[in-house]
Amino acid sequence: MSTRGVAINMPDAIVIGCGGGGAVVAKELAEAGLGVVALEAGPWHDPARDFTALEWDMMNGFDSVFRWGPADRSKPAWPRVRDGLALAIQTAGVGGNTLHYGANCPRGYPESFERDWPFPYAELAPYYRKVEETLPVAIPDIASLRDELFIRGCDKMDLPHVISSDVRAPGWRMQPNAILPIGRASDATPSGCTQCGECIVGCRHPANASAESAAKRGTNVSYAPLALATGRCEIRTGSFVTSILTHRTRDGLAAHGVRYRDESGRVYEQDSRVVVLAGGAIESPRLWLASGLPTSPAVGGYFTTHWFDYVSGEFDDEVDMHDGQTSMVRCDFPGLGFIETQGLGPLLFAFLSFLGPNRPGGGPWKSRGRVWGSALKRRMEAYRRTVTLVVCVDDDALPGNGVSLSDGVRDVHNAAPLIRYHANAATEARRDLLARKAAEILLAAGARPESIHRADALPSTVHQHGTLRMGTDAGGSVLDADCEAHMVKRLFAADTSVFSNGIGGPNPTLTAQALATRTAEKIVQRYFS
Amino acid sequence: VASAEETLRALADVVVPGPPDDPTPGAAGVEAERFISHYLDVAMPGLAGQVPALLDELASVRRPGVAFAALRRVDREAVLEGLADHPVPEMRELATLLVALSIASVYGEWSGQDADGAIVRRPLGWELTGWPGPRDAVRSLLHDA
Repeated sequence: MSTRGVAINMPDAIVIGCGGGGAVVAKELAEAGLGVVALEAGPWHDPARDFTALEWDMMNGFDSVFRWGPADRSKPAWPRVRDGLALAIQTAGVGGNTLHYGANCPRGYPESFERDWPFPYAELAPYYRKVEETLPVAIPDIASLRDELFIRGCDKMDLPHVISSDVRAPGWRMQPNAILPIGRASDATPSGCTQCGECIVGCRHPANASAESAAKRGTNVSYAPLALATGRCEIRTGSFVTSILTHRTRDGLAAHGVRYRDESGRVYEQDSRVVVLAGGAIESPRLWLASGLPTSPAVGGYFTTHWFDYVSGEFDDEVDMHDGQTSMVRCDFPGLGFIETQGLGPLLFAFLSFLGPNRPGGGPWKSRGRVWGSALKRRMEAYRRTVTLVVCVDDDALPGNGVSLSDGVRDVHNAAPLIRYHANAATEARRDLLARKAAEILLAAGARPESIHRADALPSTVHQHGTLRMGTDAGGSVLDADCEAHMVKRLFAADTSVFSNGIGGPNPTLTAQALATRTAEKIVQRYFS
Repeated sequence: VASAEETLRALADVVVPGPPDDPTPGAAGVEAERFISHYLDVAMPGLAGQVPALLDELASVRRPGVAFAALRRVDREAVLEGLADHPVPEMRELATLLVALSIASVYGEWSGQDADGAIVRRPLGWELTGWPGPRDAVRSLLHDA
């Protein structure tokens, strides 16, 4: 275990996980005057030293920099058990999944809040704005060729250009990205974003960047340093929380601290006045269950993933999809999900496009699913002429999808999480429709008709939400409208597990961060004012 | 009888073929079996020893008495497809792992690295795809370019 920040021996709040949401709630609580300890399972990476931009080195599930496992890469990763998922992605380290996210920061679709959430979309607006200013979020003003082709395709399909960040109708727009403005070629060392295309394998630019000047605004370079700057926050890395400690009160069960383990196996207990879960939508319910907290059908349930798909097409000339921020343009389809461009290195392009199930081609896509052998090699030879689009579907939040504890598999901490995801027919229909639209955009942009390929990717947890969902009904939700547990007082959550649904499909991090900002305010109002 | 190395190389050759079946270099040319064997044991200790035996067993169902590495390409493809479409989920997962490792041996950076992980030559996959590799900046997409 190592620590940064001032030593906080008697914290007001413990935050479990210092990723996309945890670092935000830690900063906001510390800024409000609370003493905060954030416990992070992984290390605090030094991008200049640790990030190589090599795809296998950074991203593989076994011994990569961004794997879910101890900082010592010679030790095994922490196992997960999957049912219906090809891949469970979690990232240990300060920054969590924002270390490898594309930094796309759209707001959720307002209509999704009207369906399931315990408060209206408008209530989140000031918190969205605060996060957008703090990260900050910027809209790129130079599109790559890949993105220009996407815009051409949308234009030809009469999809309008949308300017608003509150999206209620279909249309394309430049991505709001948590990436500093694009730098100048005239500078020997450009400041801001250098358009190197490495967002999802770990941003390490510009050279010699400080936290403030690092281009991609993962919480490792934004909220976590801001939390430390308050002088009221301590971040302990290599600290894996294994149990939430509770006691009985007149009002029922209440949290009063945690038990955690460092990488040498030493066990600690830390008391606090409130505890905030922020380990992500897999780890937070796993910890809840491993702690023996009261269960209900909603604990671990209603898991959504946006069940990604990837549609690609080849053009006559070189496009170089890997140039520029990973995605700089998107097309939203409220009610269905969204489609965006995706710049991938060759390995991720191959994995995401050609590892799917055995499916016949036909329709708008001439091939579909699994591609091996010489066909794969020809596809890979066309890599520089290929544009890949990501399809993210507004998948239904179903009680049976989610996280439970495995009967047979354990890691050094607890029973491993068993993660289950099987989409219903309505979700699959929306996904098919969006994949068709992606193919149509590529064709309208000039892709060769015989080259359109649909990955038909198996589900993964690139996006993960909903396993401790908010709601007013204690039977169908775990948290109340302020993100405090119905059944355990002084226990809050501040990650994507709190989502009542998949926010309609958009990239979830900004919404989790806006909610974490709001939740910090609620914690102060309830217990510290 | 084929060695474990020959069996894993024959497997990787199904996914990323090279000469004489394909005009450009493939997995066999980068000794993909070393990469695959290493990561199979990382995934589950002992797995690198079990997979060749399993592939030989599946091969002999298709061609009695013939080892996987000795099968014609079309039969090796059929064996791997059978594994990928197997009714048992764990077998399907194993197939996905084998295919992913075969792809990574070529299209990841491994074939360009020395024993310490340093890039000492352009990996085969970068050559086959034309990917430039990591760059500090794409200056044509900056302001004032």
